[in-house]
Amino acid sequence: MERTQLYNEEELLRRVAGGNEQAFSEVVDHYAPVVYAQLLVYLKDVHRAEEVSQDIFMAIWRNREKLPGMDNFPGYLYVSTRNKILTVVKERVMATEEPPEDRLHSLLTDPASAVEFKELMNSIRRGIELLPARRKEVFMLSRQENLTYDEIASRLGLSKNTVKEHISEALTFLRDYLNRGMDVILVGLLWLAMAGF
Amino acid sequence: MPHTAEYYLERLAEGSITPEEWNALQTLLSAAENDAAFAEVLDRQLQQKAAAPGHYPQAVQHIQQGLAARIAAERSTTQVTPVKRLTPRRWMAAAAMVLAALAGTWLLLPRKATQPGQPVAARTPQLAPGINGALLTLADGKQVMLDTIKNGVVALQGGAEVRVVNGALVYENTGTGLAYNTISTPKGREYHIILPDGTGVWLNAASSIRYPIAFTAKERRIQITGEAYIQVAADARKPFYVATPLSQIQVLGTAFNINAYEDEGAEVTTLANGKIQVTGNTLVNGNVLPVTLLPGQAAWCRQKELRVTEGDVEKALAWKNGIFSFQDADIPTVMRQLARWYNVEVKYEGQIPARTFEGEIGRTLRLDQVLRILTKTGIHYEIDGNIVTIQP
Repeated sequence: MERTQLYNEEELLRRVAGGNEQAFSEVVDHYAPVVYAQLLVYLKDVHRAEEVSQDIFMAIWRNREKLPGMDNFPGYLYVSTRNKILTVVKERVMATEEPPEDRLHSLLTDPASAVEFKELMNSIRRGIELLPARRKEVFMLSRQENLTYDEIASRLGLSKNTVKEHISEALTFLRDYLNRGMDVILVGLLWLAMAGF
Repeated sequence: MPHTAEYYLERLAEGSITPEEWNALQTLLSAAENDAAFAEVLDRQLQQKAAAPGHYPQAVQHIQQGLAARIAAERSTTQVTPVKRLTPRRWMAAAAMVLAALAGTWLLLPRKATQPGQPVAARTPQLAPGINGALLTLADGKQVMLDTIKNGVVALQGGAEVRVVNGALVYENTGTGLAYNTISTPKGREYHIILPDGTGVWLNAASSIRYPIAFTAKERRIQITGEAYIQVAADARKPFYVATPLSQIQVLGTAFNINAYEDEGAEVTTLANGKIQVTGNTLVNGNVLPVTLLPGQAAWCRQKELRVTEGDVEKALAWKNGIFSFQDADIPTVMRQLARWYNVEVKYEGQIPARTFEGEIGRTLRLDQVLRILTKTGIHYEIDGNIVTIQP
């Protein structure tokens, strides 16, 4: 799927600079999944991740007159995103003496809590079923067979980095899935089905 | 430090960071000279994510809605380019004009979102989703616009009081005289009415209902055009009849949906529960043959044609629940629904692409957002004012 480059980006950015909200929302559509997923990794809360994503895009909108002369818009966006993440990571890590409990992590690693939260465990299983085939395979080898990244990489003929990325993306997806609740995600899936993914 | 910035960030991302590592990370983060190292790791992670992004449609939708609201809010405080907003006085004047001229001028009116938190882009009103609203025509020909009234008495006629309660029209103190009211929704509006007998009617966009202000006759009779969902209040002594352009429906039970838009080619009446009997207005094979529906079934009615099919209640009622639901829908079918809800006209350039759609889309999205979803299947479009052109 061609996703990295936004079709007609120059023209879109010129329209954004001229105050065209529709063009802006096309740009947001294209880049928001990356920005949001990366924020969710560190914020671990879908609402916060959505809110901070909005802050980042709002700053782009406010500075829209700079856009036409820019030769690397994704670079500009990702630098703003990275700076914002660094700020929020600092805030979050400095805010508490101890790491806050991560429910997804404990469910995936601690059998006792998995029994206790049977319902949640079931939703995780449903979430795993929704992963793309290759990602699911990598994720299961890591979680169920406890293989290391290197072992998975050599078994599937992938690079270690690809394995890492699959697992990190699988975790982000599951976090979004769990955090958001089932009914909402179903609508999302219908949307995806409709969009032809 | 025993570990690198990358190590800590990964542990943090996984959620597996220990209290000791947490403290070490705090130390690292508080020294500004380490910022570059953290930034480098985050850059790399972002590049990887950008190469194969995940799909988060719900999140993106929320982000888009939030942004639209914030942009609208900033515009109203800065007022750099004054949008053609009507003042209350001029609004009243415009409203009076609308009453005279009816549909077509609705676009001039400032739109109000049905729910807070679902903002509508103010500068592109033709892209905004439909809202709650209708035009009430009283027995004496007087017309009342119900868009902005949330609560209050709208009219008194023949002893009956017409009130708006939480945005729905309600009849109280049942009057006597036989007078008829009509409620019509233009494109881009829907409305909820409670009839004098307690029957609930939900009108979709571009639809109308005509009914007596009191059901004093032996039978309860109403007329519907367009699309409506009707929940009939039980009254065994007074049978309930609905007349549509093409058929008569005798209600023997409770809830059903009528889709009788003339541009849809056929009327579809879907029964949610209870029992109804549908009779075509034209003869079928020389006979007037009513069909009886059981819950889940639908009556499909055209000129000289009437049959019972398996219905899909959920899909038939999707509009009432704020959703467009498509199943094997071709582009004209999809666009007819969008045209009614977003008050636009649809044109086709060249051949209409032969594609069918399946899925659901929220009716609170703006039109451009809905169309963008369709572009993912290779449809192209252009919006000019309130005309949408579909290109091959």
